[in-house]
Amino acid sequence: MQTDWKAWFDTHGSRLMLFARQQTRREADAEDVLQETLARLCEAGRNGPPDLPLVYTALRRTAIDHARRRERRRVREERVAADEPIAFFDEGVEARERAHLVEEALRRLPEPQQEVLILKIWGELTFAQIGETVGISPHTAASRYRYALQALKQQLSPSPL
Amino acid sequence: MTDEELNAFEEELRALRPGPPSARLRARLETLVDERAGDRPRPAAPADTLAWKQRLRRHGHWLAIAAGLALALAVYLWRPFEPLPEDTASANGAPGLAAPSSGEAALAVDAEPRFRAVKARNTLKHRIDEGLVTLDGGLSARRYRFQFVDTIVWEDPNDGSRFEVSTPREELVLVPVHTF
Repeated sequence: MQTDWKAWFDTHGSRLMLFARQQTRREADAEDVLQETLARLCEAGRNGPPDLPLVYTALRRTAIDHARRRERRRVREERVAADEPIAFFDEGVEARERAHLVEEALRRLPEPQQEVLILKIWGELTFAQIGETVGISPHTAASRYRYALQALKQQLSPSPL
Repeated sequence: MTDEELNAFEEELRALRPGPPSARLRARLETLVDERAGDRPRPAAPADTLAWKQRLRRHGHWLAIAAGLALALAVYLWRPFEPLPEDTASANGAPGLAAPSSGEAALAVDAEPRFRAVKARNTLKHRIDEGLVTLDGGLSARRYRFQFVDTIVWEDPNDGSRFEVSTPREELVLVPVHTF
Protein backbone atom coordinates (compact mmCIF):
# COMPACT_ATOMS: atom_id res chain seq x y z
CA MET A 1 0.00 0.00 0.00
CA GLN A 2 1.29 3.47 -0.80
CA THR A 3 2.66 5.25 2.25
CA ASP A 4 0.15 8.10 2.21
CA TRP A 5 -2.78 5.72 1.84
CA LYS A 6 -1.36 3.43 4.51
CA ALA A 7 -1.01 6.23 7.03
CA TRP A 8 -4.43 7.52 6.10
CA PHE A 9 -6.01 4.12 6.54
CA ASP A 10 -4.19 3.54 9.83
CA THR A 11 -5.69 6.77 11.12
CA HIS A 12 -9.22 6.48 9.78
CA GLY A 13 -9.74 2.79 9.03
CA SER A 14 -11.44 1.94 12.32
CA ARG A 15 -13.93 4.80 12.28
CA LEU A 16 -14.77 4.19 8.63
CA MET A 17 -15.26 0.55 9.43
CA LEU A 18 -17.58 1.45 12.29
CA PHE A 19 -19.76 3.53 9.98
CA ALA A 20 -19.72 0.76 7.39
CA ARG A 21 -20.80 -1.70 10.06
CA GLN A 22 -23.63 0.55 11.13
CA GLN A 23 -24.77 0.93 7.54
CA THR A 24 -24.66 -2.74 6.68
CA ARG A 25 -24.93 -4.68 9.92
CA ARG A 26 -22.71 -7.51 8.76
CA GLU A 27 -18.95 -7.68 8.86
CA ALA A 28 -18.55 -9.15 5.39
CA ASP A 29 -20.93 -6.58 3.89
CA ALA A 30 -19.20 -3.76 5.78
CA GLU A 31 -15.83 -4.85 4.39
CA ASP A 32 -17.19 -5.07 0.87
CA VAL A 33 -18.80 -1.65 1.11
CA LEU A 34 -15.67 -0.03 2.50
CA GLN A 35 -13.48 -1.68 -0.09
CA GLU A 36 -15.78 -0.70 -2.95
CA THR A 37 -15.95 2.87 -1.69
CA LEU A 38 -12.20 3.21 -1.38
CA ALA A 39 -11.72 1.57 -4.77
CA ARG A 40 -13.94 4.17 -6.38
CA LEU A 41 -12.30 7.04 -4.54
CA CYS A 42 -8.85 5.68 -5.28
CA GLU A 43 -9.79 5.44 -8.94
CA ALA A 44 -11.21 8.94 -9.01
CA GLY A 45 -8.69 10.74 -6.83
CA ARG A 46 -5.21 10.42 -8.21
CA ASN A 47 -3.74 12.87 -5.73
CA GLY A 48 -3.77 10.79 -2.59
CA PRO A 49 -6.42 9.99 0.01
CA PRO A 50 -9.67 11.98 -0.09
CA ASP A 51 -11.25 14.16 2.60
CA LEU A 52 -13.02 12.24 5.31
CA PRO A 53 -16.52 13.77 4.82
CA LEU A 54 -16.38 12.77 1.17
CA VAL A 55 -15.54 9.21 2.17
CA TYR A 56 -18.49 9.04 4.58
CA THR A 57 -20.83 10.33 1.88
CA ALA A 58 -19.50 7.83 -0.65
CA LEU A 59 -19.63 5.07 1.93
CA ARG A 60 -23.26 5.76 2.68
CA ARG A 61 -24.20 5.79 -1.03
CA THR A 62 -22.30 2.58 -1.64
CA ALA A 63 -24.08 0.96 1.28
CA ILE A 64 -27.44 1.96 -0.17
CA ASP A 65 -26.45 0.52 -3.56
CA HIS A 66 -25.19 -2.53 -1.82
CA ALA A 67 -28.46 -3.07 0.00
CA ARG A 68 -30.31 -3.05 -3.31
CA ARG A 69 -28.44 -6.00 -4.66
CA ARG A 70 -30.82 -8.45 -3.10
CA GLU A 71 -29.79 -11.61 -4.81
CA ARG A 72 -26.10 -11.17 -4.28
CA ARG A 73 -26.74 -10.18 -0.72
CA ARG A 74 -28.74 -13.33 -0.08
CA VAL A 75 -25.94 -15.51 -1.42
CA ARG A 76 -23.36 -13.65 0.63
CA GLU A 77 -25.43 -13.95 3.77
CA GLU A 78 -25.50 -17.69 3.35
CA ARG A 79 -21.76 -17.68 2.88
CA VAL A 80 -21.05 -15.63 5.97
CA ALA A 81 -23.73 -17.24 8.10
CA ALA A 82 -21.03 -18.94 10.12
CA ASP A 83 -19.12 -15.71 10.68
CA GLU A 84 -18.84 -14.34 14.15
CA PRO A 85 -21.40 -11.70 15.04
CA ILE A 86 -20.32 -8.19 14.16
CA ALA A 87 -18.85 -6.12 16.98
CA PHE A 88 -18.85 -2.35 16.88
CA PHE A 89 -16.04 -1.71 19.35
CA ASP A 90 -12.64 -3.07 20.19
CA GLU A 91 -12.17 -3.03 23.94
CA GLY A 92 -10.10 -4.71 26.60
CA VAL A 93 -11.62 -7.16 29.03
CA GLU A 94 -12.40 -4.56 31.69
CA ALA A 95 -14.32 -2.29 29.35
CA ARG A 96 -15.82 -4.99 27.19
CA GLU A 97 -19.00 -5.32 29.18
CA ARG A 98 -19.63 -1.58 29.05
CA ALA A 99 -18.85 -1.51 25.32
CA HIS A 100 -21.28 -4.34 24.80
CA LEU A 101 -24.02 -2.45 26.64
CA VAL A 102 -23.35 0.70 24.60
CA GLU A 103 -23.44 -1.30 21.40
CA GLU A 104 -26.72 -2.94 22.31
CA ALA A 105 -28.25 0.41 23.22
CA LEU A 106 -26.90 1.95 20.02
CA ARG A 107 -28.48 -0.76 17.92
CA ARG A 108 -31.85 -0.07 19.54
CA LEU A 109 -31.81 3.56 18.40
CA PRO A 110 -33.62 4.51 15.19
CA GLU A 111 -31.25 4.18 12.27
CA PRO A 112 -31.14 7.92 11.41
CA GLN A 113 -30.10 8.64 15.00
CA GLN A 114 -27.49 5.87 14.95
CA GLU A 115 -25.70 7.22 11.90
CA VAL A 116 -25.68 10.81 13.13
CA LEU A 117 -24.33 9.73 16.51
CA ILE A 118 -21.62 7.57 14.94
CA LEU A 119 -20.59 10.27 12.49
CA LYS A 120 -20.37 12.85 15.28
CA ILE A 121 -18.71 10.86 18.07
CA TRP A 122 -16.42 8.50 16.20
CA GLY A 123 -16.41 10.05 12.74
CA GLU A 124 -15.53 13.43 14.23
CA LEU A 125 -17.55 15.31 11.63
CA THR A 126 -19.18 18.68 12.20
CA PHE A 127 -22.94 18.99 12.03
CA ALA A 128 -22.57 20.73 8.66
CA GLN A 129 -20.53 17.81 7.33
CA ILE A 130 -22.99 15.31 8.79
CA GLY A 131 -25.81 17.21 7.12
CA GLU A 132 -24.06 16.94 3.76
CA THR A 133 -23.31 13.27 4.28
CA VAL A 134 -26.81 12.26 5.31
CA GLY A 135 -28.72 14.80 3.25
CA ILE A 136 -30.27 16.84 6.07
CA SER A 137 -29.74 20.34 7.40
CA PRO A 138 -27.06 20.97 10.04
CA HIS A 139 -29.80 22.01 12.44
CA THR A 140 -31.62 18.70 11.95
CA ALA A 141 -28.36 16.85 12.39
CA ALA A 142 -27.72 18.64 15.67
CA SER A 143 -31.16 17.98 17.08
CA ARG A 144 -31.09 14.38 15.90
CA TYR A 145 -27.75 13.97 17.62
CA ARG A 146 -29.04 15.38 20.87
CA TYR A 147 -32.08 13.09 20.82
CA ALA A 148 -29.83 10.13 20.11
CA LEU A 149 -27.46 11.02 22.91
CA GLN A 150 -30.28 11.43 25.40
CA ALA A 151 -31.95 8.20 24.35
CA LEU A 152 -28.69 6.33 24.61
CA LYS A 153 -27.91 7.78 28.02
CA GLN A 154 -31.39 6.90 29.22
CA GLN A 155 -31.01 3.32 28.03
CA LEU A 156 -27.68 2.95 29.78
CA SER A 157 -28.80 4.47 33.07
CA PRO A 158 -29.66 1.94 35.73
CA SER A 159 -33.41 1.58 36.03
CA PRO A 160 -34.88 2.59 39.42
CA LEU A 161 -35.69 -0.23 41.75
CA MET B 1 -30.36 16.00 31.47
CA THR B 2 -27.90 18.84 31.83
CA ASP B 3 -25.29 19.86 29.28
CA GLU B 4 -22.54 18.80 31.68
CA GLU B 5 -24.00 15.32 31.92
CA LEU B 6 -24.26 15.07 28.16
CA ASN B 7 -20.70 16.28 27.70
CA ALA B 8 -19.45 13.70 30.15
CA PHE B 9 -21.45 11.03 28.39
CA GLU B 10 -19.99 12.13 25.02
CA GLU B 11 -16.50 11.77 26.44
CA GLU B 12 -17.33 8.33 27.74
CA LEU B 13 -18.54 7.29 24.29
CA ARG B 14 -15.49 8.77 22.59
CA ALA B 15 -13.30 6.64 24.81
CA LEU B 16 -14.72 3.54 23.14
CA ARG B 17 -12.54 2.59 20.21
CA PRO B 18 -14.19 1.25 17.08
CA GLY B 19 -13.02 -2.24 16.17
CA PRO B 20 -10.23 -2.09 13.60
CA PRO B 21 -10.69 -3.41 10.06
CA SER B 22 -9.71 -7.02 9.66
CA ALA B 23 -6.35 -8.10 8.30
CA ARG B 24 -8.26 -9.60 5.38
CA LEU B 25 -9.73 -6.24 4.42
CA ARG B 26 -6.39 -4.52 4.90
CA ALA B 27 -4.74 -7.02 2.57
CA ARG B 28 -7.47 -6.52 -0.01
CA LEU B 29 -7.09 -2.75 0.15
CA GLU B 30 -3.32 -2.95 -0.02
CA THR B 31 -3.60 -4.99 -3.18
CA LEU B 32 -6.09 -2.53 -4.57
CA VAL B 33 -4.03 0.56 -3.83
CA ASP B 34 -0.83 -1.07 -5.04
CA GLU B 35 -2.55 -2.01 -8.29
CA ARG B 36 -3.78 1.53 -8.72
CA ALA B 37 -0.35 2.92 -7.85
CA GLY B 38 1.22 0.54 -10.32
CA ASP B 39 -1.13 1.83 -12.98
CA ARG B 40 -0.32 5.47 -12.30
CA PRO B 41 3.16 6.08 -13.69
CA ARG B 42 2.60 4.00 -16.78
CA PRO B 43 2.23 5.88 -20.01
CA ALA B 44 -1.13 5.59 -21.68
CA ALA B 45 -1.26 2.30 -23.51
CA PRO B 46 -2.81 2.05 -26.92
CA ALA B 47 -6.48 1.16 -26.90
CA ASP B 48 -5.92 -2.24 -28.46
CA THR B 49 -3.30 -3.11 -25.80
CA LEU B 50 -5.73 -2.22 -23.05
CA ALA B 51 -8.43 -4.23 -24.74
CA TRP B 52 -6.12 -7.23 -24.91
CA LYS B 53 -5.21 -6.89 -21.27
CA GLN B 54 -8.85 -6.69 -20.34
CA ARG B 55 -9.63 -9.74 -22.42
CA LEU B 56 -6.73 -11.56 -20.81
CA ARG B 57 -8.03 -10.69 -17.36
CA ARG B 58 -11.54 -11.80 -18.27
CA HIS B 59 -10.59 -15.00 -20.00
CA GLY B 60 -7.34 -15.82 -18.23
CA HIS B 61 -8.84 -18.81 -16.47
CA TRP B 62 -9.91 -20.31 -19.79
CA LEU B 63 -6.38 -19.89 -21.10
CA ALA B 64 -5.05 -21.61 -17.99
CA ILE B 65 -7.50 -24.49 -18.44
CA ALA B 66 -6.56 -24.77 -22.11
CA ALA B 67 -2.88 -24.82 -21.20
CA GLY B 68 -3.54 -27.53 -18.64
CA LEU B 69 -5.42 -29.66 -21.16
CA ALA B 70 -2.64 -29.20 -23.72
CA LEU B 71 -0.12 -30.32 -21.10
CA ALA B 72 -2.21 -33.36 -20.24
CA LEU B 73 -2.55 -34.23 -23.95
CA ALA B 74 1.18 -33.87 -24.48
CA VAL B 75 1.87 -36.15 -21.53
CA TYR B 76 -0.67 -38.66 -22.83
CA LEU B 77 0.77 -38.70 -26.35
CA TRP B 78 4.36 -38.95 -25.19
CA ARG B 79 5.42 -42.56 -25.08
CA PRO B 80 8.81 -44.02 -24.28
CA PHE B 81 10.07 -46.32 -27.00
CA GLU B 82 9.36 -49.97 -26.36
CA PRO B 83 12.55 -51.92 -25.66
CA LEU B 84 13.74 -53.83 -28.70
CA PRO B 85 13.43 -57.61 -28.55
CA GLU B 86 16.60 -59.25 -27.41
CA ASP B 87 17.11 -61.01 -30.75
CA THR B 88 16.84 -57.75 -32.71
CA ALA B 89 19.24 -56.03 -30.41
CA SER B 90 21.76 -58.80 -30.91
CA ALA B 91 21.24 -58.80 -34.66
CA ASN B 92 21.76 -55.07 -34.86
CA GLY B 93 24.85 -55.14 -32.74
CA ALA B 94 27.93 -53.54 -34.22
CA PRO B 95 30.08 -56.07 -36.03
CA GLY B 96 33.25 -57.01 -34.27
CA LEU B 97 31.80 -56.30 -30.83
CA ALA B 98 31.00 -59.16 -28.63
CA ALA B 99 27.36 -59.27 -27.67
CA PRO B 100 26.70 -59.57 -23.97
CA SER B 101 25.35 -62.79 -22.70
CA SER B 102 21.55 -63.05 -22.72
CA GLY B 103 21.41 -62.77 -18.94
CA GLU B 104 23.37 -59.53 -18.90
CA ALA B 105 21.22 -58.10 -21.73
CA ALA B 106 18.03 -58.85 -19.85
CA LEU B 107 19.48 -57.25 -16.75
CA ALA B 108 20.46 -54.14 -18.73
CA VAL B 109 16.92 -53.80 -20.19
CA ASP B 110 15.30 -54.31 -16.83
CA ALA B 111 17.55 -51.78 -15.15
CA GLU B 112 16.65 -49.01 -17.60
CA PRO B 113 13.64 -47.10 -16.28
CA ARG B 114 10.76 -46.62 -18.72
CA PHE B 115 8.48 -44.28 -16.83
CA ARG B 116 5.22 -43.19 -18.32
CA ALA B 117 2.50 -40.96 -16.95
CA VAL B 118 -0.32 -43.09 -15.65
CA LYS B 119 -2.38 -40.65 -13.65
CA ALA B 120 -2.91 -36.90 -13.45
CA ARG B 121 -5.04 -34.99 -11.00
CA ASN B 122 -5.76 -31.37 -10.10
CA THR B 123 -6.60 -30.71 -6.47
CA LEU B 124 -8.22 -27.45 -5.44
CA LYS B 125 -6.58 -26.44 -2.17
CA HIS B 126 -8.00 -23.02 -1.53
CA ARG B 127 -10.53 -20.65 -2.99
CA ILE B 128 -9.86 -17.12 -1.79
CA ASP B 129 -12.39 -14.38 -2.27
CA GLU B 130 -10.30 -11.25 -2.80
CA GLY B 131 -13.30 -8.97 -2.96
CA LEU B 132 -14.39 -6.42 -5.46
CA VAL B 133 -12.03 -4.93 -8.01
CA THR B 134 -12.56 -2.28 -10.65
CA LEU B 135 -11.38 -3.21 -14.11
CA ASP B 136 -9.81 -0.85 -16.61
CA GLY B 137 -13.15 -0.24 -18.28
CA GLY B 138 -14.72 0.82 -14.99
CA LEU B 139 -16.56 -2.47 -14.59
CA SER B 140 -16.76 -4.05 -11.18
CA ALA B 141 -15.86 -7.66 -10.66
CA ARG B 142 -15.29 -10.01 -7.80
CA ARG B 143 -11.88 -11.62 -7.87
CA TYR B 144 -11.36 -15.21 -6.78
CA ARG B 145 -7.95 -16.81 -6.42
CA PHE B 146 -7.95 -20.58 -6.89
CA GLN B 147 -4.92 -22.49 -5.65
CA PHE B 148 -4.41 -25.92 -7.14
CA VAL B 149 -1.85 -28.64 -6.83
CA ASP B 150 -1.37 -30.53 -10.11
CA THR B 151 0.00 -34.00 -9.65
CA ILE B 152 1.27 -36.45 -12.28
CA VAL B 153 2.01 -40.05 -11.35
CA TRP B 154 4.76 -41.78 -13.34
CA GLU B 155 5.14 -45.54 -13.44
CA ASP B 156 7.76 -47.90 -14.75
CA PRO B 157 5.84 -50.86 -16.21
CA ASN B 158 8.98 -53.01 -15.93
CA ASP B 159 8.93 -53.16 -12.18
CA GLY B 160 5.86 -51.15 -11.16
CA SER B 161 7.88 -48.44 -9.42
CA ARG B 162 6.13 -45.09 -9.24
CA PHE B 163 6.83 -41.50 -8.41
CA GLU B 164 4.72 -38.38 -8.27
CA VAL B 165 5.45 -34.83 -9.40
CA SER B 166 3.32 -32.14 -7.75
CA THR B 167 3.28 -28.54 -8.92
CA PRO B 168 1.40 -25.68 -7.26
CA ARG B 169 -0.67 -23.52 -9.59
CA GLU B 170 -2.83 -20.42 -9.16
CA GLU B 171 -5.74 -19.17 -11.22
CA LEU B 172 -7.38 -15.78 -10.96
CA VAL B 173 -11.02 -15.65 -11.92
CA LEU B 174 -12.94 -12.41 -12.33
CA VAL B 175 -16.70 -12.67 -12.04
CA PRO B 176 -18.45 -9.57 -13.37
CA VAL B 177 -20.64 -7.83 -10.82
CA HIS B 178 -23.55 -5.74 -12.00
CA THR B 179 -23.94 -2.56 -10.04
CA PHE B 180 -26.82 -0.17 -10.37
